[in-house]
Order: sequence, then structure tokens, then C-alpha cells
Amino acid sequence: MAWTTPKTWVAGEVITLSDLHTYIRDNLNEVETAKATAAGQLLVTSGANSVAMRTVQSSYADATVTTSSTSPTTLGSGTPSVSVTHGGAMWIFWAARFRYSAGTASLVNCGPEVVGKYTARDNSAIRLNDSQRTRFMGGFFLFGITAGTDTVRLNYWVNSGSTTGEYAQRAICVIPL
Amino acid sequence: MTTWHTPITFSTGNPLGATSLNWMLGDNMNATAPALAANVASYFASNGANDISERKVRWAETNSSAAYSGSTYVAFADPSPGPSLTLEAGSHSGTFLAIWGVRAYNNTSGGGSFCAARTDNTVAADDWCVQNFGASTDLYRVFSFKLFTGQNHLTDNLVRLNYRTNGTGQGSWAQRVLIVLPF
Repeated sequence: MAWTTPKTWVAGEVITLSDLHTYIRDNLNEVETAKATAAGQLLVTSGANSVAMRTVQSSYADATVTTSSTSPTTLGSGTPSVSVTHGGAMWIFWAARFRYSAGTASLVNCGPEVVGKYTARDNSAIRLNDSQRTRFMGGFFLFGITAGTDTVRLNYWVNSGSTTGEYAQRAICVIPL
Repeated sequence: MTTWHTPITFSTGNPLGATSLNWMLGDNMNATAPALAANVASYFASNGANDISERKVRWAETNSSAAYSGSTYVAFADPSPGPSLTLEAGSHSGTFLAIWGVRAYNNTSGGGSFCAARTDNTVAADDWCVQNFGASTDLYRVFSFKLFTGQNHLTDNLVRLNYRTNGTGQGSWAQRVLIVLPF
């Protein structure tokens, strides 16, 4: 169903069954309270006269993984990863403990990918050129992608193929809008 | 809390009574966001099926620097406590996102400085900490986060930052901020 602009009744008008359903029942079924199905869902707009309740998702992978790939790649069987339903925009937060563990001193990178819709890249990554373990987060607001249910996961890469990037305590959280 | 009633499918010959009107146009309208909104710059999240409440972003800051050499997580006492904030009963559904930032460093080579949020129900852990092995010349100010779930929402819940080192050197933490988004 969809929201219908409420009717302005006039004096003496007979209220029909159809009106009751269109302007009361169906419109009430379009409000946020009707759409809430579980605790912790966030109220967002999903278009003109349309709202949705979104579920914030997070995932964590503790295992230490390494790569010398100079292009973004998944590690640890694609972990961490979440599946979110969104309206074309989302806040993505992620964190990892990372460093270069062998080879040439060079940038080590970690950033989010929305499978099939947004590839990980330098300008939305957290980046570090250090052999000492450091753990911190990155944040990115992604918008303008096609609404739907998508997998969001972390990618990893280094700037030099002779560098080994090491990652652990990897976490991702997505607030879908 | 106003109880939500599943919108009625009316039928011919079934008069529109006061009960139906009160449920549909009274109780249900009073359970929507505009009726429940009480503050500016808030947002809404669900407490459960057909039950929503206004939420408000919370924020606390401690600018002063504190030092500590222990390897177990602790909260700092005066004169450099916190930051911490209390999520009052009913102000979240049991789920909230905590984001915190701190300038962390250590005075010894090989020394690490950690900072993680905790709640009344969850102890601080390295899994979601900020961690820096840099020295005082590496004045990193970095952030981390944790989506806390399954938290007690029926009583007040104190969210605060805890600190530890890796057992080497003295850690220092300054410019500490804690932000919580309740859901």
C-alpha cells in the first residue's frame, strides 16, 4: 500500500467504506509505528510520503590476516561482513588493528565495499604507514546507490607489492538510511 | 506508552463506533512520531513491534590528560575522570552505538596505549579499543566504535571509557570524547 493524501470531508458527506479504508486503515498502516517489527530499528524516510524502519548491523572478525595485494581484496572469507536493507544511503563505520608486518615500508589500507555497488578505494579507506600495531576506525557516508539489500564488507590492500599488510580485530557497523 | 491497535478493516453494516474511532484516530495517532516528539534534533527508533520512542544523541568530553601504567582496563578518577554518560532507563531499546576518540600515546618504545568503552553489562575489551603504540612524538588522536546490543534498558546504564597499557611504559590519554547513538 501507499500513503494517500488525507481527504477533506465536507458537511453532509456520507463517509464510505472505501474512504475509511483509504484514509484511516491504509494510511495508518504506512506510519512508522505500524512498520516497526522489532526493537532497535531506526525510523528513516524512504521517499515522498514513505517511511521505513532500518536495522543497524555490525560484525566482527578477530583473526589476523595478511595481504600483499595492491588492489582491494577480501580476506578471511570476506570477513567482517553485514547484510543491510537500505534506501540508497548508509553510514559505514569500520575499524582494524593493522600495520605493515614485513617488506617495504608503505601504506597499508582497509576500506568498505558494497558488493556490486561500491568498490573499496583509497579515498574512503583508513591508511597507515607504520610497523607498530595501531587500531582505529574510519567512517564514510555512502549515498546515491540503488536501494536494496546488500552485502557490506571490508577490503584490504597495500600500496607496494613488496609490503605485507597485517590486519586483526576487524569490525564493521552499518547504519542504513 | 500508548498501545497500537492493528488498523481495522471496516465492513458494511458495522457502524463506526466510538471504540473504533478512539483506537484508530485516538490511540494510533498518539503512537506516531509527531505525537511522541518532545525535543528538537532527536530521532525515532523502535522498542519492539509497533512501539517507537524518541531517541537523542548523547555526548561527553574530557579534555585533560591522564596517565596510567597498568595492563588492566580502569576508569580514571578525579581530576581527570571520564568521559562517561548515563543512558537513562527507557532511553534505548538495548542497542546503542558508542563512538569515542582519544589522543593516546606511550612514553616507552614498545609500549601500547589502549582505550575502550564499557557499560554496566559489558567490560572493556581490546576487540573494540583504540590502540596506539606510538610515542609522545606520535600524537595520534584516533576513534573507535562498538555497537552494544543486549544491554539492560530497564535501568540506568553508565557508559564510560576505560584505559590500559600493554604492560610496557606509561600511557597517556587526552582530548577524550564519547558519543552514543541509542536505538
